Formats: sequence, C-alpha cells, structure tokens
Amino acid sequence: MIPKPIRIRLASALTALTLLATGPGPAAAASEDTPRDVLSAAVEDFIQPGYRTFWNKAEAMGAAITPLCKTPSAPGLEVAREAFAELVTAWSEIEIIRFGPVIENNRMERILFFPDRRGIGLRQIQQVLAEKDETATTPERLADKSVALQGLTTLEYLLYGTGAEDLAAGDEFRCKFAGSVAARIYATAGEIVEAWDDPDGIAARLSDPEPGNPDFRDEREGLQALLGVFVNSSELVADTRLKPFLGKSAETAKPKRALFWRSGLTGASIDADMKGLEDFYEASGMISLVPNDIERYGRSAMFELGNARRTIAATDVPLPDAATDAETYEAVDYLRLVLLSIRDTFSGRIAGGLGLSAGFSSLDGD
Amino acid sequence: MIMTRRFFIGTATAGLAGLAGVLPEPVLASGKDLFAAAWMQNGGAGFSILDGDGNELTSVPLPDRGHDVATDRAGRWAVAFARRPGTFAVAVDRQKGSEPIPFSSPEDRHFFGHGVFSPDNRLLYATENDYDNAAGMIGIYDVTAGFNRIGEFPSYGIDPHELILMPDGKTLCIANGGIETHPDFGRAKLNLASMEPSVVFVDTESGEMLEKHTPPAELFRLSTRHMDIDAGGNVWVGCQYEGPETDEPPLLLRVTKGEGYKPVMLPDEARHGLLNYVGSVAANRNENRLVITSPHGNCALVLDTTSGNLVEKIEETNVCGAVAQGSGFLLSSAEGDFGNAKLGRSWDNHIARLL
Repeated sequence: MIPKPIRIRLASALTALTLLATGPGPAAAASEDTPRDVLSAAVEDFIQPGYRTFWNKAEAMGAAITPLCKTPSAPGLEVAREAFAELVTAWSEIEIIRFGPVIENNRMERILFFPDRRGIGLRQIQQVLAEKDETATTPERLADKSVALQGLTTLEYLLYGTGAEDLAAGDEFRCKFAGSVAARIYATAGEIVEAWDDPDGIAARLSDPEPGNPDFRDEREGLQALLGVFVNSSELVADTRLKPFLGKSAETAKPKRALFWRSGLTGASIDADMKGLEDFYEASGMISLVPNDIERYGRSAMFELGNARRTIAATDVPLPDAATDAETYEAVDYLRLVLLSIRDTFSGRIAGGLGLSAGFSSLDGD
Repeated sequence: MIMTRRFFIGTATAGLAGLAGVLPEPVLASGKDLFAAAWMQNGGAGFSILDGDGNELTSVPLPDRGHDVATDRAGRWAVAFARRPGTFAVAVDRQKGSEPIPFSSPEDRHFFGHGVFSPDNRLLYATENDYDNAAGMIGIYDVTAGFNRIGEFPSYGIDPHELILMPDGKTLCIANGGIETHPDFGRAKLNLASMEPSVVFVDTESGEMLEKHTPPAELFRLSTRHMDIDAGGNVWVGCQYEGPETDEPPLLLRVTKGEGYKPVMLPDEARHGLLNYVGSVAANRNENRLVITSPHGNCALVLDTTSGNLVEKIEETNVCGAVAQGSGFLLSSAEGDFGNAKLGRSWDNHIARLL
C-alpha cells in the first residue's frame, strides 16, 4: 500500500543530462599521481577509515543495547534502532571492498548473511528465540554457531521483526541475544580493522606492491583490485540488492525479498553502497591515471551514480514498496540499470584506460 | 539409486526465433583441423567454425553470450551452449548446412555452458542447474530427435561446470564447482561460506555416482571447474579460488579414477601468476602436454603430464581458449587473438575441436 503520490525524477529526463556529461568536456588536468599514490590513497583515505567507522558504529550499537536490556523502554528501543541504522549505513559504504581480510574466515558472511535464498538465517533466529538457546547470548559461544546468526540481518530481526516490541517491555532473552550479536559484529569489525592497520599487513602490500608479496606483486595487480571494487560491487548491488525484489514488473515485485525491508533501510543501504563507490572514486583518484579521453567516462559514470542517489532521495516510500507500484517501478529499476552501466564502463573503458585488459571480470566464474 | 527421468515436450525456444533464416554453408572436413568457439562482438554474440589459421568457415549468431561448443565424433554436430545462467543451445549440422537447430533447457533449469556427446553420438549430456533446489543436473538430449530432452540425472554436487567422457565411453567425469547461484540473483555467488566443490564420476547407463572426490576442508573455497584427460586417463582439473588472495591454494588437481586426487604443485611465481583463476584446461595427449590458461593473469602455463612439471609460460593478454593443435596448443583471447590470427571478435573461454 502506497499512501501518497511519489515524486521521482524521470529517468528520461536524466538521459539528456547524462549526454551532456559525456559530451566533449574540458581536457583533464595533467595528473602527477602515480599508481602507488592511488593505491596508498585508496587504503588511507577510504578503506582504513571506512572500516574504522564501521567498527565505531558497531561499538555504539552495543552501547545502545546495554541500557535497553537494563532498563527496557520504548525510547531505549528507538535509540537502539537509530544506532542500527547508522551501523547499516557504515557497513554499506565499506562493503564495496570485497577483497583482503573481509573475505578471510567468512567475515563478510558473519557481518551480513545475504542473500539467504532459503531463509536459513530466519529459521535459525526463530529457533534460538523459541528454545531460548543460551549459547546465543554470549559472543564467545555465538562465534561458534552459524555465521547466519552473527550479523546485521539477525540484529535487524531482533530489533524490528515479530516480537521486537517486547524489547521495550523487557524481553530479557531477546535483548541479551541482540547484545551478543552486536558484540560479534564489533569483534569481526575489529579483526578487519586490525588487519588493515597492521603496518606490515595488507595495507603495506597494496600501497607498495612488490614481487615477494603473497597477494599484490605489482602495481597492475593492485589497480586490478581497485577496479574490481567498481565492477564487482556495482554488479553485486544490482543483482542481489535490487533484482531479487524487483521481479519482472510491479505486479511480480517481491518487497519482502529486499535486504532490510523490516527496518525500512533498503534504500538507505543501497544509497550508502553508491556513496561508497563515489567516495572510493574520489578518494583513490584512480581516474587520474587514465588518458583524458577516457576520463570523461568516469565522470559520466559518477554523474549517473549521483542521479541514482537523487532518485532514492526523491522516493518517499520504502524502495521495496515503490517497486510494487507501476508508476514508480521504473524508477527503482533505473537504479539497477545505472549500476550495471557503471559495471560496464569500468570493466570496459576505464579498464582499458588503466592498461588492464578490458572486460577482465566478464569472464569471472566460468 | 533411482534415476530421475522427466520428459519435456516442446521446450521453450521462443527467444531463439531470431535465428531462423541463418543458413550456414556445409562445413565438411577439409583435411585441415577445424575448431569451434563462441564469441562476443559489438554487443552481439555468436559462435564460429574456423580453421587453425583463423579462417572462418561459418558463423552462427546466438541470442546471448555463449560459452563452450560440444562436438560429436561423426563430424556432424557442433552445439554451442549459453553461458550461465542462459537457457539456450544451438546445434549446427555441418553436413547438411541446414538452419541451426535451437533448443532450450527446461523451465526450471539453466545451462552452465558445457556439454558432451555419447560415444555413439546419439545423446548429448549437458551440465544444468536445478536452481530452486540448488542441485546440479546432467540433462540428456536425444540428438536423433531434434535434441529433445529425454531425461536427467544428478551431478551429485552444486554448480556442475565442465564434464568429459572417460575412455570407457560410459563414465562421465563432472567438475562440480560448488558455488550456488540462482537466476533471481544474476551471477552472484550465494554460498561462499559453505561451498562444496567436488569431482564426480557417474555411470551414464544407471545415472549412479561411482566416485566423488572432494578437496580437503581447508580448501572448501576451491572451485573445481575445467578439465581434460591425459593419455594415461588422468583427469586434470583447473580451479578458481574464492578465498583470500594471500592463500596459496593449488589451482590444478590431477584426479585418477579409482585412486583419488593429487594437487599439482606449480612453482610459486607461476601459480601466483594465475591470480587464483584457471579459465580453461586442454591436453595434448600425443605430446603428454597440458595447458591451463588464466585471462586474469594474462598467461598460459604448459605442463608435462608425465612429470607434472612446468614446461613453458606464455604471456598473452586475456588468454583463455585452448585446444591441442599439432605438437602444441592453439590459444585464443578476449582481445581477438585466435592462434596467430587476430579477428575482431572477443573469444569466449573455450575452443572445441571438430572431429
């Protein structure tokens, strides 16, 4: 049910603007940046602070749950929910980094178990709640349980799912479980921060690649990882955060398949993914390494991304609901198309401009 | 073991209507080696039959990106399969030069891009995804009846990719990549925390599993995907690793039926150069050589199959397609290279030999 007309900028109007942006532009200023400057900037100005922010928000999450458990109240629950929204935003901005410590020890899945096509996580959460399984209420023991129980989707269910209101009335078990999950997220985030902050670790190897490294042995491999952020993450958001609930039309849209539909944070999360890509683009300065005639494709891609973010901002109902209305369906699908277009721009033109083989990722997984 | 047999009549081929009217010339053996490979060009897709010098004898449009081409032993059929999660296949009758015959996977399946003919050329086995159940399947198509799908059996794993017929003519060796995907989520990998790769031997007559070889627990993210067989009957399996870049997994396994598998140790520099991604594997059985290619690492490694030793490293941008030719290999790339020729097509991962 959509209560009022939704104002969304029309994709067709944006096309004209995009054309403007891709037309002949001023020549880019000659850049002094070297590939190593770009690699260092990506690490120091985006990756490290991004994980630190996420870690801080995880700490704040725990700090909001502790008083809620001690003194349950509706305002207390509201504070916890606000902390959750900030945690989701912080994660979404940094989740575009899908290499390095985050893929060790299933950390990414521990933080966010999604998509969960068969509802494994939900079943396990409900089982823990039904049985009042005490092993889920301490982070140490929760760490050994299913990865699906240790992250954001579990916390969302506890804060917003069936029975969440009981947190305000003193559901001690549910609150302890939520605190334990928040502590697990904090611990996992801390492991990632520690790995990226290790002066002899991945930050050094990516910023200053050399032949003896196990991972990044030359600048090209480093830049390939950076390029992969745009290519892989834009596709991932399009295919796992938008496509599943869009269906083929407004009639077949499935809003409950959206990530964070319970908390209404679907749009905020996708917006933060996009902001992450924008920030990474700016912070790394990667585009300064490509020839001037290629650089405008990067600018155009960022312009499109900005349009997509404005489209989200202009949508005044939750995105999953907007997909169920024929009038607004196209606007939500437009977000997906922008992301796929960004994938293609970076895997094609930008990859070529960086001297990396064009379309390198198009062969992935086959 | 009960073999599941489902019959599908008139599988959906509506999306392939655009192929009608294409009339490739008959492509008979000319004394030269002939090959087939799928390609992309200017956003369009197709596959070609060509000689080792890159001269195209025919090319057939495909509705979307193809992957590998299966060829029979009678010099008649070449069948191109859609890349996952595509549902189309297109068969060309080289002897008749008639219209290509399109066919599809059933509604609740998609192809993974590979297939193999039975020794009598009457059946075509294709790796397929029963995606709602996250189960790998081998679809059976009747070549003599317009590639009508007449049954299936399990691949005994998730994500079956390449498959080959063993020398006994009745056992299939199947590489189950172990990665769950579902068309609702595009090409996203849905189970990286719980992957289950395996190499399986299946009896085609009963559909029963004969052997299953699984990497050790610490290598659960090692996706087994491409393979070929050497002169001694060993299967060499190329892998793609989904774990951290700092891990140093073996990217090539040698599987021997009745015995098990051994990781093939490559020199560190060469192993690293693959960037944890092997895109195709091809054996030259006359020469006891094997090539594995990495389009990510822009290189191909040639090994001696008797010793397992590295013989040569070839550097070529976006190289992936590989097949035995003469005393060596014919390689292709997404940059248009086909052997020594350069065509304006972006070649897909594989080259098939026409027999």
